[in-house]
Amino acid sequence: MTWEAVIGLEVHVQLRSGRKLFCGDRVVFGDPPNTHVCPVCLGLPGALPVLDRQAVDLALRAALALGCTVPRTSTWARKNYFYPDLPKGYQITQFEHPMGIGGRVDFDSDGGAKSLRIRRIHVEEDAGKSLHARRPGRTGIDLNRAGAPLVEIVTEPDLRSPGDARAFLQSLKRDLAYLDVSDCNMEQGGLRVDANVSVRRAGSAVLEAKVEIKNVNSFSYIEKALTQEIARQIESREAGSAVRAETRVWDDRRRELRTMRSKEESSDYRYFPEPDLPPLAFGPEELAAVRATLPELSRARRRRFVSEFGVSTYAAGVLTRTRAWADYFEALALDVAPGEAANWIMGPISAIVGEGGGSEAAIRVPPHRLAELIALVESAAISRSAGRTVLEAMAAEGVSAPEVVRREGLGQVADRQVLEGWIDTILNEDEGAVARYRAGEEQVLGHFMGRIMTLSAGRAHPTEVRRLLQEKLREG
Amino acid sequence: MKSRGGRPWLAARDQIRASEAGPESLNAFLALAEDGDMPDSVPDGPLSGVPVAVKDNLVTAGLPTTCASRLLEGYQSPFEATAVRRLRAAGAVVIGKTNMDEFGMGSSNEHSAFGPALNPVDRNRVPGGSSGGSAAAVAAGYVPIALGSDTGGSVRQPAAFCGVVGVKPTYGRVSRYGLVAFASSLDQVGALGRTVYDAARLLQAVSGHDPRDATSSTRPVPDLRAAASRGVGGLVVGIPDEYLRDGLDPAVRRCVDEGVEALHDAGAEIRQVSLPHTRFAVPCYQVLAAAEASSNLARFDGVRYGRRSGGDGDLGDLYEVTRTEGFGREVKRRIVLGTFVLSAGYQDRYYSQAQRVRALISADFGRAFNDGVHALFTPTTPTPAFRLGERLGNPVQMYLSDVYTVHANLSGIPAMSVPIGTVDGLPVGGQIMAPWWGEETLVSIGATLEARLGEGAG
Amino acid sequence: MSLSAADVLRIANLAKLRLASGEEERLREDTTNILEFVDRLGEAGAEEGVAPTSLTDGRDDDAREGRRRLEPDPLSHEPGAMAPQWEDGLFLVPPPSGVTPEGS
Repeated sequence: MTWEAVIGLEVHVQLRSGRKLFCGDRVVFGDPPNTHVCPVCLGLPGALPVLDRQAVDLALRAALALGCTVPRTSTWARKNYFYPDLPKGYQITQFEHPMGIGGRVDFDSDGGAKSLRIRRIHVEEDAGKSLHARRPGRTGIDLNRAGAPLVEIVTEPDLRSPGDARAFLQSLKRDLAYLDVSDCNMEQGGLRVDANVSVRRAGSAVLEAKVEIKNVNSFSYIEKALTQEIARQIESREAGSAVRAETRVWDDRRRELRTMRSKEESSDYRYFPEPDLPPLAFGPEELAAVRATLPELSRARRRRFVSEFGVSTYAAGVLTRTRAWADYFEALALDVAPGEAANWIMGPISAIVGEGGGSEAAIRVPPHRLAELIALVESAAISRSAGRTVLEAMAAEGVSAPEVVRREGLGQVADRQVLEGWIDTILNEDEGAVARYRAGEEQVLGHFMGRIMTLSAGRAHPTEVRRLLQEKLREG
Repeated sequence: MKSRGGRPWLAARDQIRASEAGPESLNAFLALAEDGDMPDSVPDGPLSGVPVAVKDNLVTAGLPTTCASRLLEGYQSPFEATAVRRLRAAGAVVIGKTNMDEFGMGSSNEHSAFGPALNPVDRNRVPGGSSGGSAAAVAAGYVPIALGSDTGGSVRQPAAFCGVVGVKPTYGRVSRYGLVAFASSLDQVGALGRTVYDAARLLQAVSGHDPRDATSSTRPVPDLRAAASRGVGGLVVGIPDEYLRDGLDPAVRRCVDEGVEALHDAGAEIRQVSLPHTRFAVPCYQVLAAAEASSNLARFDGVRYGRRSGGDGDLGDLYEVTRTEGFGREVKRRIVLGTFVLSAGYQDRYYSQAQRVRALISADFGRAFNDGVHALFTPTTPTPAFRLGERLGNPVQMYLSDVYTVHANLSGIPAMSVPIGTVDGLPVGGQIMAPWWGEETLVSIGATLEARLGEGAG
Repeated sequence: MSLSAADVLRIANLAKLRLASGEEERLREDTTNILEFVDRLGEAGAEEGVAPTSLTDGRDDDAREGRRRLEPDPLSHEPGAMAPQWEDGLFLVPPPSGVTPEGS
């Protein structure tokens, strides 16, 4: 008997507007508690929410990039429940009419190209934090995060394996960063995932009871949690017992799922339209304008790097991990052979700036300067190892390769073989001048010297060149 | 900046304090400004030096804001309502916070946790509610103007009961920022005044766009003071038949008839109109207001502010004891109703149905105004002020005090109550309703009625 | 419709109210009376084709109006000044059920 897992995800992503969704407070992680609060996010009597412009812009980018239809109007709703870190006693969210519906995302997993339908994407405010361990017998409430802007992305249950779930999440995280929508910082709670999973006989279309998985805070734990849960459900089904619909939470220390204490009261959230906020409306012009600014996302870019530049699939994957990396590569590939460009980025550059850096390197060593350096190495004006030294200096000081080469004397190429190569090139280009020299026109030597210095970008060791040049011309 | 003969507002405050401490106390104020709460001088503005009373559900810097609830006893807001900021900018001096029904829930002021305000015309009668303290303060001559709030008639009904002018502007005309929410889609800050002109200038001073209220309009504010002298010539005033049926005190009806005649004599064209869904307005209002209130009052949980009870037990105790002891009976009644009509299995039958009926009620007004009617004229209340305790035992009877006023809140239109006569010495109010943003029309008609029917009229 | 005692309990629990037995019965009666009164909404003919009203009736604002970037309204005293229990910048409450006092 083969079993098939049916997995859907709910992903909460913090928008990188830096401000709360309904007031102007900063969203800062790690500051002293209750230092980024105002009447609105404290839920004070008389305070009213006002929608932050930038959060909407970012959420709209996400919705469109996920292929969602964005209705002309979407509405806000109140989700009512009591919890100490929910200051108003309700969360402002979108319920009946979310801002994005019916999208689709293609992604690559180990199992090949996959496609996943997006059910909806909506905007909502985050809750604050309950700190249970700070005071004996007391829970402390910090509202710095209360009101932080989130989008919730809900997928259809189209995933069939924990690996696919992980691959999708990685792809989503990458793309949200490409879009400048979110930093997706999991350590700071900037990306949180709930999953629902059931198993059924392969090929069956029956809907089975779903188990919800909550509180998992890394992609590898999600994969692990799903794998555990699927195994548990299969075992249970094979033993002939049914799987109960329930919520299971991930225990970080034990690295396993456990049943959530079900002392929970029946959750009746009494959603109703939020009267303090007018509906969110989008005109066709706005949608078109935002669509026009959407970048090519990582998967498309990866594929194009392979087809257009001929780099390996592996290299394309590395180069498209961040948008800055990929932009850097493309700019470099204007001047440098793509294979060489890829090697330089994945080798020396990433050694200097570290994984996923890119932006820093791009500031200190812009692509055109790296191209200059590569040309020096290619022309053997400096050795490869000298090239690395030069790159380090460029990154540290923001200077150009020739500057470093000149200053460090790295360009004083005295290597006989290299110098002879340059000399041969020049002499072969101008046999007429060679003949004139031999006929006694000695000032032609200066002409050759100038050509060789140009060819070597000034790095040829002049005395050595003169000696070798005279030698060669005599031999002739 | 200027100071008019020292600080005359101190004398005004002293006089109120003396009256309220005496045998004729109206219990109109929950807090009076101390010397330190009042400025030494005030900016030049349309309300320079005018003492003003503010309903205790508008948060104020300095003075506490309790909403007449035990739960908020002593609460000091760390920010101030936009309407109050604008009052101060216009030169007005906030002299105290007025009594009200707890969180605005009531039509008699008897649901104040700190005892009812009394009607200055007859202290055995209610001043109306929920802005009863503001209406009483104006009627008693304590202040010429006062701010109130109107969710279902809470400015107009007490204005009618106390014989003063009360106006609820168009939804979105005045910022709700700093108005402690009862029912957000219905609440609007309103103005009370001894005269139409006073109410108009107060309304004008607090009106206008506020970026901190997403439902506040960006429309320019008209010159309401000028509208007071414009007359009613050429205006078509509709009389909705549905407002003159069962339950209307015949003596009140006679006052309304005199009002109609006065408007006709002043040059208005009078036309019969029909608003067929009128009778559904009170139940519709009750459902929607309670639903929104149940959510709006969830923030009073004893965690961040307010009186906490049961804090020694678990979190459930804290919530339940705090709210059970902190809220009065009427508030709990509305929370229970509101929670029920939003709950799973009942939401469509009650809440959603009320939303649909709300659309029908709005459409009634839309039709009337599209047919060339500039304003509607009705009684404000079916009876004059009733006796203290008379309706306390019967919530439905109490809710019917709002039978003519909730419509304007449901449809968002502006409405005003002006004194149009008396019955056995008790004031009777006439209500004017205008299309969205039609406050000028209210003022013109109100001033005409005042001139022809008011105390000074011949 | 008529409310049962169980309905009232369910609602009170959702609304975080703890009603004494007399109060519970009174609220049940009051609410039942109000609901019977409110049931007339069913006669309004609003079942079909009537869209729930929007708060934007009568408004003609631009679609993007209402989206802003505001600075926070400053607090005139610290957030904990009105709090029943506040220590080291935190609001304190009893732990929610299911959470042991020392965390975990």
